[in-house]
Amino acid sequence: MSQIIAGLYELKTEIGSGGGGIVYLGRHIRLDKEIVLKADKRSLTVGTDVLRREVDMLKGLSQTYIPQVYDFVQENDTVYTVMDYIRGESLNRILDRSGKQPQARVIRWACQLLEALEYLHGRPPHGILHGDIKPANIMLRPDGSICLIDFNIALALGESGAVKVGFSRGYASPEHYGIEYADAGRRVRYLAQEGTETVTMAASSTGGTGRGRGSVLLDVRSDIYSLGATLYHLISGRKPAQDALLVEGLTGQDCSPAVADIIRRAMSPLPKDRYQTAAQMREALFNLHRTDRRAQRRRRGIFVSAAVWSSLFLVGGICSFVGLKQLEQRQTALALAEYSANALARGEVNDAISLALQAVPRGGILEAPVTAQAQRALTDALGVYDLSDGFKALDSIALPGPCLDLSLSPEGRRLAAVYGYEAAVYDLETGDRLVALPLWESAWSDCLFTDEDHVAFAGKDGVSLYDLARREVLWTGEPASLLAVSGDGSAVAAARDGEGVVVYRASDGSRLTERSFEGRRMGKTENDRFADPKDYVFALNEDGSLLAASFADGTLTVFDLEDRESDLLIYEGSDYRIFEGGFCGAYFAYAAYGESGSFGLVDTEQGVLRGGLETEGRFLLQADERGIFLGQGGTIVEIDPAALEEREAAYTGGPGVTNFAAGGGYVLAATEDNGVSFYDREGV
Amino acid sequence: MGVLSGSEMLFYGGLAAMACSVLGAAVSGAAFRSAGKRLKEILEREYGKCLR
Repeated sequence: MSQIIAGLYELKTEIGSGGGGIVYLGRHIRLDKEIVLKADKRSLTVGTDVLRREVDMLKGLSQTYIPQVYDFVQENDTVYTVMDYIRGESLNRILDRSGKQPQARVIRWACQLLEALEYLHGRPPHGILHGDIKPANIMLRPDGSICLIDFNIALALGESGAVKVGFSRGYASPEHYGIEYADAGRRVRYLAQEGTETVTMAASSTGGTGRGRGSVLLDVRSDIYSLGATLYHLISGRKPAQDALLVEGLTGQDCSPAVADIIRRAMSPLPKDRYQTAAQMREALFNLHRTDRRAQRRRRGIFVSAAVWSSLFLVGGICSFVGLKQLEQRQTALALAEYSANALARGEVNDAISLALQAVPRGGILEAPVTAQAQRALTDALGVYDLSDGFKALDSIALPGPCLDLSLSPEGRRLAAVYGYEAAVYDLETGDRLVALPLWESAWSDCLFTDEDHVAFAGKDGVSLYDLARREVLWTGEPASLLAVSGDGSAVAAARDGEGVVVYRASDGSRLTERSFEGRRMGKTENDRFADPKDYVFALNEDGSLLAASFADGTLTVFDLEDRESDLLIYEGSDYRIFEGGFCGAYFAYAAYGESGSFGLVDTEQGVLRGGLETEGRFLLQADERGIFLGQGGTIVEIDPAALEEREAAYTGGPGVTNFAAGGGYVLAATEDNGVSFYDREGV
Repeated sequence: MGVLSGSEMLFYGGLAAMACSVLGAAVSGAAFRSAGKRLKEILEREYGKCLR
């Protein structure tokens, strides 16, 4: 027969008993609701007021994971606490049945328990300690959530009075046993009697000193320890050792290292080493995903990857920007160089220099290296030529076709080109063709400058003198093909092969003298219309008083145009068939070739041969007012006719010289390898 | 097509680097995303659903 308590509650069955008292399953008669009635054992030893105060403290609690306390009734000297009936199973029964629990589930329970503890510890005025957290005091509801029950030794933190209650070995913190450690390894003081299950405790809100004799001080960190021990048991299936120093560490087979660390810290022997609040421990559990080493490694990888790609993008952007700026600057420089060249062509030198300077970069990373076009524009504008690699080409003039001969005016400002029975005269400064002069129809027809403005030519009507300034023929003589001009430009000798030579005064075309060749021919062929082998000598000296001429029979003569008796016969009817030669001052230098070669130097005043030499090969000879130069192989030498000394003017170092021109201290040489080289006075 | 000048190499090389970085970032992002999903499954298996 069931017992009615306080007319409201029906006691049905006893469902448990422990240190706190007997627990009955009951029914709220009016609400017809299942409730739990707990008969408190302490009602015999503590005052009703103390128990009522406890219930009043617990009655105000409202939290998902804490059972609701409804009432406090007294019946027959027994005090009953009326609270929610929590359906489910305690965790110790689950442990007994199933052993250790999955880690994920234990973590979820731990978070719920910590939420409950955080609520309890935060209750005003100073919080409430549970004091006996263990698997037996945690119910697992059918929906998978937990409920923290059995607040039989719950203490309000900061209470001045002490309560004598029981505690659970293995789950209770060292403080429960009155054990205090100076550090994690050394026990300092032990207050509780060995073997007893109860101590007199006082609860401190701060965990500080000042405990009374025979009592220990608990705080929120004590609950943290108990929770840690509970989790230890749940996750490993082993109850932790009572001595905090002897608790075995959790292994990889029990749980993850991060979880083991959390439990280890919660169960630190020294309260100061544990989590200081339930919120701290809950935060550690919440952060498991984030603090896991694999997650950290992944985040590190993302950071590094982002840094690498960002850096590459930034560097690429900078390079692209710099390259673009350089290209823009280069385009501008090219345009400015063209403008400079155009300004220079118009004769606007200052503008050309200014534009060329703008085309040259100042330096800096945003400017491209100086372009060749800008360099050329500046050097052209400034008129600076780099001689270190040779002479810079001044200009070029297009000729209408291959020319047979070229003749340069004394100052080098005019050029006469002979081709196809016509001589074209060009102004080298402007590139303009000044005149085209029709020539006698012979390949031997010459066109030579007497001075800068006058040119003698073997014209169709006879030897003539053309005035370039007045653009008219000044005089015309007898028909002739070969011409020679005296060094001073005062006399023009005109010869017709096989007949003789007439010497004209250049200024007016008057005859100065004439000599017959007495039938001797200079050319070796009958027809001279198509080819001029240039294998003869026909030259006047400086003042036009001497004429050197060679003939096809191997005769070489220096005619004294003023005194027939003073003619010099150098060779008469020799085996030589090819002659070269010219006058240099009072000397006549010649080279003659047949089966062998011969070079000679004649003093025309003395009428003697000053020197000479024989050779197997052929010489290249230039003898005129610029000097006497002899070339053979890769060497060109200048000969001092008075001292008969040689000076090396050029040395190719390998390829043989095929032709050369010397003057002004320089030698221009063409070589067998189709090269052209300039040599200065030092022969370099 | 002649040899590129230094300026052209800077410009086109920079563009290429930027393009590579975008491509690389996309590929890395996809790889990390995929790895992240797998890791999340592993962590949820070990620790339960993330409660944060």
